[in-house]
Amino acid sequence: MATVLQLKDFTKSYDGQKPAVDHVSLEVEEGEIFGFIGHNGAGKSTTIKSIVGILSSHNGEIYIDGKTLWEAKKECQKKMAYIPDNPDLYEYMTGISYINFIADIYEVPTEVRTERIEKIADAFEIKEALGDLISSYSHGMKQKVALISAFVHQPRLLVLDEPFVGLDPKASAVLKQEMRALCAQGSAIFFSTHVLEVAEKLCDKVAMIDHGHIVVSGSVEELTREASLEEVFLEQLELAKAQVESHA
Amino acid sequence: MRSLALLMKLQLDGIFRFSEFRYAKSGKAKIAFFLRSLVPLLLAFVLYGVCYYLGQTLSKGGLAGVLPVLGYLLGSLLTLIFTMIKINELLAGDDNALFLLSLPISTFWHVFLIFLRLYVECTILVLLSNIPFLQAYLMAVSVDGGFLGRWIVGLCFTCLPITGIASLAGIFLALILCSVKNSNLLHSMIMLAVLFVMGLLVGNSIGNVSNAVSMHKDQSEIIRAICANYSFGRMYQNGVVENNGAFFFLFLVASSVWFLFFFLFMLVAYQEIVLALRAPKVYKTFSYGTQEAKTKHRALEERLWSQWIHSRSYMVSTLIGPMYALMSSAFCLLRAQEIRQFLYADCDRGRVDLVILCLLLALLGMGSSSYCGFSMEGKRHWIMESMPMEEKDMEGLLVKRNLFITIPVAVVSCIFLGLAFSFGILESLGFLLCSLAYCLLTAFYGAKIDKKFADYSMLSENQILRQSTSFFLGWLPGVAIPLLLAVGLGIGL
Repeated sequence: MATVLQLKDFTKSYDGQKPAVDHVSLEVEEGEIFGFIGHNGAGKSTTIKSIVGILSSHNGEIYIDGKTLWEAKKECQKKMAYIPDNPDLYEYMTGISYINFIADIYEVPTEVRTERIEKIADAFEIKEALGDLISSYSHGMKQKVALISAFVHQPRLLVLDEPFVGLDPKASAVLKQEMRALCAQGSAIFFSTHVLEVAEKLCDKVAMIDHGHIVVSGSVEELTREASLEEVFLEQLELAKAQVESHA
Repeated sequence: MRSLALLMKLQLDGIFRFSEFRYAKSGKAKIAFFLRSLVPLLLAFVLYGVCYYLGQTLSKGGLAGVLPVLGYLLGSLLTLIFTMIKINELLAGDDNALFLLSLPISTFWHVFLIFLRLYVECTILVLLSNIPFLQAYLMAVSVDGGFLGRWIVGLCFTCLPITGIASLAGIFLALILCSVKNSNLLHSMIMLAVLFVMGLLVGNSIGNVSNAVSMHKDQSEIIRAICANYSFGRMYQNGVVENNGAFFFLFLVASSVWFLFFFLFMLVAYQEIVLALRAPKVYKTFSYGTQEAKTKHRALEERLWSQWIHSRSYMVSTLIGPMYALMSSAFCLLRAQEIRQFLYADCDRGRVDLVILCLLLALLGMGSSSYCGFSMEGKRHWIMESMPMEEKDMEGLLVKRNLFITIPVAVVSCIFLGLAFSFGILESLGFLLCSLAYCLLTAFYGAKIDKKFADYSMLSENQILRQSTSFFLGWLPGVAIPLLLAVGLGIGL
């Protein structure tokens, strides 16, 4: 299977001193759902923002479909869709006009987008509200519109930052279903979460990040052979803490 | 009491932003804070300078008698505009509003402190606009101590009733409606309340002016009558108001009234309430089949225009200059003879023309909108950043939008001015070329500055327009440089 996303010795520092993400390497292959797990401030969002090209100036390499992000940034971005943890959308647009705007940017033909929007909007039960202004939407509704706009152009790599926060149980189930369907078509998904149950049930592979370092990485099947993902995570956190203390 | 003191500190911090400086993490953050602080300081300086120049010019033109009244009028206008722009942010538009209301402090104190904050800010504005008028007035007219006392009392009361009515109505409405889910409607209701107050004031002014015009035939008498109808004007109606000066003063009053209407129109026309009420009817009947695909360039361009139209402060701030340019040049054309007589009397014509050109450039510079294109993305910049779009595409579209607004204004204004002042072909061409070159220069310069100094942490367009470094570095030179040139040239006249 082809590698869709590859991080090689990726390091990112905000102040030029202490790195927020330190020598992270990982691979996501086509058809895979990759969970990026870590506590608040561990470096998940920094890694994600760098992958989608929002943050620049880092060490190491990021490859999208074999191409270096910084050499072919726009070409890479054309293959990706990104939804942040708190999607602030253009409040003066209606839901449908925002989705159409994104579809125009990613050059999705009219017939194709119409069919996709209808299908996903129906599943998310937001079709009736798509004509309203985004400023009148709740957090969850904005999240749904952002997700529809991401799925509408069927990206090769879907990057999601905490996608399940703020979604109702039904919408969460729909999202999981859509994620699996997208991967079945050969795309890959990279998403961050701190809900370990979701990661365990949904992901093919996971990586755990703590203080900018990858502490565990591998397939969910292997990692959960002897213990649950939660137990593995807590155990690794303790180990990392002990290591830091011994260094001190 | 301690909670109240903390809340007061919070409001004062909202004005002066002490915490931002005190808890800045790095030297760079402190420098950024310092640079941003220069924006209100320099705007205050410009406001003071403009008022001083205006006061001196009117005083020299024999209009010293109307200066205190004009100062109060301008102060009232600034108070109104400021309160209108600000009121949404302070409670209803504040993300922390519900948190603040959940604190164990009575609602009365919340309302009082917000009002106090607005009053303090408005009083600073009124002082800034009135002190230079007073200076000019004192140089021309000898006054007693009683006058100064009355002037200070007048100042306090200039912004008190306007701020009071506008903000209290808005705040109480916000408090009543704060649990309503649709915040757009809430904001719009507040704005409508403020507009109602504005409407009353404008109506009063129109009634006053039309009454004065119907009662008197002599221009000086009309001005005196207008001043006399305002309570503060009665004290100063004995000032000298002569023929040509009277025209100038009438123009100022007319443009102020027009300005209020313009503001009113913009606010009403693009209120969220209009969109919110219209949106369900228009869009709910859409069919997916009618959403035709566009090229990404076109989609981006449409979004930029849409952003400009829906960001009221942004649109108004970029349209005021061009609209004034059009209005002033049209006024010059309509009353060409009187204005020529007023401006060219005992003055070097060439220098007067240069002053006119500089003023036109300053007004066109105000119309430059590219300085806030990237910054206006604010918290939503992730959308553009993660898209397969080049920054230069966005930059080009910002410049295009800017030129689309300013170039027609420059052409029409130059034609009007050429006809009004009987310019020769070369002179007219020079005016036109200078104006077009300046439109291009400010558009490109604004886009470059904005790209470099965009601040994506800003939440609202109001914040961006008031506090961002790109606004300060992009807009101000475009307006201030030709204005300073005009002042420099004008001093020698």
